[in-house]
Amino acid sequence: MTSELPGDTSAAASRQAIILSYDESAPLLVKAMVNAIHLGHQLDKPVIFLRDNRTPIPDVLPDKFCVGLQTSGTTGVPKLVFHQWDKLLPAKTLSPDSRWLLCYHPMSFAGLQVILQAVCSGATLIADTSASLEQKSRLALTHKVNAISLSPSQFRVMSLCWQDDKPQLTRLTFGGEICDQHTLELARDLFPDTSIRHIYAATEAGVVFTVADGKAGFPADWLGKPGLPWLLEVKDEELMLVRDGQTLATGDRVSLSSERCLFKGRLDSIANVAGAKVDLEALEHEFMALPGVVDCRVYTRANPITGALVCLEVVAGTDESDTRSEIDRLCTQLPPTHRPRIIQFTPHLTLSQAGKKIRSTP
Amino acid sequence: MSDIKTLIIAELEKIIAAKGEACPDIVGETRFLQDLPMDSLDLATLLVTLELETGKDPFRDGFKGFQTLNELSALYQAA
Repeated sequence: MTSELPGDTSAAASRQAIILSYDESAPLLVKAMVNAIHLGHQLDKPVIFLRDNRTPIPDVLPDKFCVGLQTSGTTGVPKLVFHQWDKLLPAKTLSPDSRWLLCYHPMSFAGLQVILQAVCSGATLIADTSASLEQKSRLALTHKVNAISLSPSQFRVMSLCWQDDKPQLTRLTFGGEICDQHTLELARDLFPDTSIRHIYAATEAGVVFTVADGKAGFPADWLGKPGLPWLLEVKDEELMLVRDGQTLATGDRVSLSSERCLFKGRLDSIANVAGAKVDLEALEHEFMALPGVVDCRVYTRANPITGALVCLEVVAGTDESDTRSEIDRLCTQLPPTHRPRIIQFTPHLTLSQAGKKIRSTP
Repeated sequence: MSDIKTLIIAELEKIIAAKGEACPDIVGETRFLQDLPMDSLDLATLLVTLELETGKDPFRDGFKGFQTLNELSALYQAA
């Protein structure tokens, strides 16, 4: 394969790296990615997977084979992070009989993990990068998928499509977002015999830990305990990752009980509405707990009067009008600044390319 | 009456009705925050709804002052 350059990168970058830009409609994109890795390995050059061509490529690139991925950009401008090859490889290869469905963006950290797991274990990977979640839920059935790794938001959409017929999953892994107890129980009800786990990972840190006990969060005694790739600490309610003298502030808020450390949301999910601070994820949890709400997204829209305005997107169960009554009842109990002013019912939520809920609309 | 004025009045009536308030007659010189039972959050709701309905955002380049229905309508007509 040839090096491919987006328009705004320097010619020097093309000499130093193999760059593959994302094109949703490109046939065999995943195969091209695997080929790029193979070539980078042979030439001992860095490989860069560009999800978004607007992300600047640094002038100075690593001089050895490694893989550059963009962060998801959930909270700001995506940035390029280079990973050593051995840190990207799966810690454990799973059954070669697995049939994986690629749900994440192929050029995300989580997506590449799925691709590499399938390749390294000699398993089958079903990937249609342009498919919607509804189409992917059908692909899971038609291709007899038995292993899926996806975000909780993606799962909730796909679970709606699996009410009559569902894939025979042996492995279901959540990542990319907070996995709450509600989603874990939904998964357990739908797939009672499946190994269900949730992974905590970040593009900057790699996979930090995996939780398989069916409970949200992670055991509190993992804090400060050696044995994980990063030492876990909590500072001012924020989860910190420590390794080799380096401290990575995750931006994830946690609360501690005697046995469990629970994720409460992103530090930057706090919106300023008419001068009041609104915790969008905490508010979303309140709506998620209402009867009839299958999934929802609390987000803000910018406006020149109050800066931001809280809005709500809802996937309802069977009876939309009952769900609307429940939402209206909760709204009357909320402070005016926290009350969603635009409420839209939708068959599925607006998610980012990384499968995460988008928190603000400019 | 222009389409945008009709739309603004319809949205105002919805916002005020949702608050359980009676909506007075709205004319071109009606001032949003002084003459109608609405606050800044209601006004923000109106602007976000209008953007969703019309696809126009007259404030994209920065805030522009307005007080009345006529003034806001003019901003949308110029956008």
